[in-house]
Amino acid sequence: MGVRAAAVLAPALLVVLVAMGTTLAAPAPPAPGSVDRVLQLALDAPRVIDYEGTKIITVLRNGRTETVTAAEFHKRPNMTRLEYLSPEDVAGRLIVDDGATSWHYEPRLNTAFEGPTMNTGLLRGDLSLLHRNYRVTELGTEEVIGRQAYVVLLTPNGPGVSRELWIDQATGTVLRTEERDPSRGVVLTTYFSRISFSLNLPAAYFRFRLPAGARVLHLFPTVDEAATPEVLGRQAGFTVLVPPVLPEGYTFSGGGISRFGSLTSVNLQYSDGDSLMSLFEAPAGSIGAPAFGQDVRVGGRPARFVDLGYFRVLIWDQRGLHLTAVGTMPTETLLAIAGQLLSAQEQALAHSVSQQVAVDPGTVNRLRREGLTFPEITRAVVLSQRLGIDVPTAVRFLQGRLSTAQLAHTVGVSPAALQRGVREALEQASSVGPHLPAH
Amino acid sequence: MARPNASQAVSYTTEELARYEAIVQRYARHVYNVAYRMTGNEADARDLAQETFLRVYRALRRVEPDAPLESWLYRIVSNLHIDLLRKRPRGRVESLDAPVDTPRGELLREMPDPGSSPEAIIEREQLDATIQRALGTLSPDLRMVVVLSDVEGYSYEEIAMFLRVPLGTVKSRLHRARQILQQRLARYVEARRRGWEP
Amino acid sequence: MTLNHHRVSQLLSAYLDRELGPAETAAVQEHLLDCASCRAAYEGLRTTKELLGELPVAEPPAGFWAAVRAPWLDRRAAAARIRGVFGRRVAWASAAAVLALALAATPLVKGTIDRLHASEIGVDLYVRQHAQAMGAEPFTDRAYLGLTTGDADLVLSGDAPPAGAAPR
Repeated sequence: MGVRAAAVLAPALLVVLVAMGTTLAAPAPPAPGSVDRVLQLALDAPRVIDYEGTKIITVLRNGRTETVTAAEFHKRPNMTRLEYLSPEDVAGRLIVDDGATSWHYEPRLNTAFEGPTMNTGLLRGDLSLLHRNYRVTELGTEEVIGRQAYVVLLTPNGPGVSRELWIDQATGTVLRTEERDPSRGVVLTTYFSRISFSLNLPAAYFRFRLPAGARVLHLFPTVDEAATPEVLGRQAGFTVLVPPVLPEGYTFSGGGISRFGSLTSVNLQYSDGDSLMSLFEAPAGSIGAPAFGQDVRVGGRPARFVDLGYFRVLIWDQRGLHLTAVGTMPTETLLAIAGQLLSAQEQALAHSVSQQVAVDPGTVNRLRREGLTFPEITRAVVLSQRLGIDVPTAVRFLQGRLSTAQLAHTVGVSPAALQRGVREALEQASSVGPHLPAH
Repeated sequence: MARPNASQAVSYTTEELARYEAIVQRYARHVYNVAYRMTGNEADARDLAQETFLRVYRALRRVEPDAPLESWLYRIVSNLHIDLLRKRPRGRVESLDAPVDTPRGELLREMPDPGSSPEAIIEREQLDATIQRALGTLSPDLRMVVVLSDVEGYSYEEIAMFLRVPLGTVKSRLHRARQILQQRLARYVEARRRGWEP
Repeated sequence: MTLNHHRVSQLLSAYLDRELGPAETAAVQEHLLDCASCRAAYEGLRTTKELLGELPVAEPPAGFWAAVRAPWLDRRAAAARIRGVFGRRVAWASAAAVLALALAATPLVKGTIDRLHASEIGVDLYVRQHAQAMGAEPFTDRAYLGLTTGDADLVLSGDAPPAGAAPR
């Protein structure tokens, strides 16, 4: 068995780790002040180093603040092994992710859950969207578990959760994180209480072996990143609602359909480069409102709010659909998003936007069917007019799929000039409605 | 377009195709790895693994959902490997001097490694290539057992079940395989035992 | 149990793999204390096993996944099989090119969860999916995602109260 092979290797491994602890040379540290390079270092770290450590997570769970301990193993570029140690109800839980498949094994039930990898971000990682939507500040250096770490603060331009990262100077590994919600204070902290770096953790650690007699549950939804709400709606058999407004910076990042049992849901994802909002839509009646959570009202209509601490969930019915929004944004923001979706007069808004930015309504409607919010459409149109590029190119740039350097090259201006133009265009676009109400 | 072509006369439902996808997700990486360690080169490994999954695909209706397939898959790999050797002139695969591809991936070549010198990476790659060559000198039977045990981490009982041989046979093949490999890798084994790292 | 030198030397691999019964294990241990040559042999086997275990997982070449995922697209492989010639290379690139279309048209759906009647399930299913998708954001904490995903799995399998329900 893999586990046994790992156990046999373990003593030898420790020796190697101890030996390597001293020989792991530091890469050239980024020059002080170059906070972008620090973030890049952190982004690249999972691809260049293996580690094994003990992680402490503090978060609201089961309705109270809990501290969870886990042994975390990482093998480059994208393999993870997590062994949860405490509290009692998670002790023994094992998660093995080999970069393609993620396995969760629960020994108490002798059940394994198989699903898609959680580690797609480790390979695809790109910071252009994050840079566009967050102020990145270096707060100096601090010592974390005896190691020197850069402290970096990410503050969203719009309302949202800010994040502090303690990034190991020698390896780029994130040693500690703290997430802060403006309305509630710290909502999630994680840190390593111990960590060892290595050049080559045994592959056997990252291979899941199904224990004898274990029950297996498969949880693979369809996720096709290119799918637009229009295509997804055709496949699911209902018209997909697209949010008219989201917090600044959130841009359509993909969608999919999942079918479990008799339930068919469409999922739209919006990312700001650091956080994600998911909107799930299913025919009303295929699923009821949960019996827990808080009753709230959105646009005068009943809705249910479920607080999971870091993740927050809002559920409501609209136009024959059952909608569920999941995200890390503040509760008020989530309510405002739902309010906009409920009250939106799609055609009136499309008409108003096309008038204000002088573009034909057909273009606005097409971009809506591709999942863009009205502010995204406004920004893309104004940017395309200002830079003399086509709208799809502007969309790709705003969604972080085209870098500033690439676009500057296309347009034939310097990156600095481009950035100026972009700033002005975005300012101009921000005066065009609709907006998320301030709170 | 997404239809199985007519000559294969297979037309699967969406559910069945999803089941096939789940099997690929779960096993293909391991099947490829075993195939690679058995053949020692990318091209043969790829053909072998692909052929294995073609057989799974054809037999999909007979595959019980959620049944562990390792046994069946590794038996196919083992049989295909033996077929392959029969069709090849001896020596081509088994020669000690044959050039051996090192596996790609692990990002050793592409990525600068903060903790390891280029020399260390090259040494590790040479070691991997030497181990792979040494594996290539074993008979297919011994090779399969040692790959399943020491590379993939299966227990004796599982290997016995996969290959349909008695437990005692697994034991003796594995012991014999390790003895041969130890001789072939004597330089590295010695170095490791004395505490320097190759 | 006492074992002679020859017998022990044959059992060293199984001893290393912890595949011996308690009596044999004890007998081998006892012999190892006294016999330097068996100790050396054991160390050699252990190191050999260790070296093999450190081999990197071989990364399949470009096109492998596309061809394995859509074997029906690969006629040349089928032809090669019928001829019994295995050495022939298959049409990887063309398979990859068609795959994009094939995937778009084939919803890859899998779900063996059959207790989807309870209204609570939806939330946990969605939270799980959201957590998985959060993995694409660069600085998300994986241990937190694993915790959330795991908690959702337990609800989906019918073993735990749903997320957001009163504490246990």
